[in-house]
Amino acid sequence: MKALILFSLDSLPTTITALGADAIAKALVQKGVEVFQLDVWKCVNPLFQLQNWINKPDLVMYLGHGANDRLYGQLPNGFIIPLVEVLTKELLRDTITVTYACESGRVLGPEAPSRAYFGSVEPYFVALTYPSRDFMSDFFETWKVIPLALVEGKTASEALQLYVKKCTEYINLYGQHLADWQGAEEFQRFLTQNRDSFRLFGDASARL
Amino acid sequence: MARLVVHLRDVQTNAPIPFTAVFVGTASGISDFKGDAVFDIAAGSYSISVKSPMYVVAPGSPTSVSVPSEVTIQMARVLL
Repeated sequence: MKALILFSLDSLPTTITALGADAIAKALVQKGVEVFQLDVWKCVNPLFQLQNWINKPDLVMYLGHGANDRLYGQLPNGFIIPLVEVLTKELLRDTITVTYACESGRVLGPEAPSRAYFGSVEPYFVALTYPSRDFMSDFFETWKVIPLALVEGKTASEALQLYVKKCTEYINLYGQHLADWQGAEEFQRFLTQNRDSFRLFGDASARL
Repeated sequence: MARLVVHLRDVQTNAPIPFTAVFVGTASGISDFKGDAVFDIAAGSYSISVKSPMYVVAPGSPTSVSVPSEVTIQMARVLL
């Protein structure tokens, strides 16, 4: 089984998603998955195409900036030629695609020729670490759920359900600490959006 | 009455963050286009918080302020 993890590093939020991508990669490697990474300046369309020709992945994961019809990849390159957009959606054909990015579920998700495409239809949030709580790691845990569930043989639909469940656990936990964890209210709201706006397109019964 | 000036700044770029809700005790205000919110309130010590749809208060920024004073709140963008 081959996974390709694509992530940029061009801003504060993508610094955090880069750390998250690393955590996901480590978790997948531990499960015996062959993981390829196109990171930072390599997270661009030509190298994604090249990777597909040389060694097409079964699972594609992207963490970074997105918009309704595109995943930008590394900026500023991605402003000129996005990593993948509706016009280059064939890059995603026959993969299971998991995206942690803003809004790509609005247009790219429904149109992507992926077997299954996970993405948010609203802005998507990262989290920070505070002295009282490491919200960043909590969000990383939610991001690991879908790829690990897929690797374990679960369907896309089951993986999404597990993601929702994990998010809900943290949302409830933050709700119990609104008074004593700085940032709990904000990250409860942001994680709720990450949960409620996350969609699955394509074949809900798809498995890796 | 005493004056509190709150400067909202992006922790990465130091750019001002305009049009963002700032809460000081029971008072509230909105930062202007320069990222500043001004409060004329009774002198004393207050809790301070900021609500934004795309930023959070960066770890280490003050959560309480003394009035009169001038304070900078560093904000971290958390929107992808």
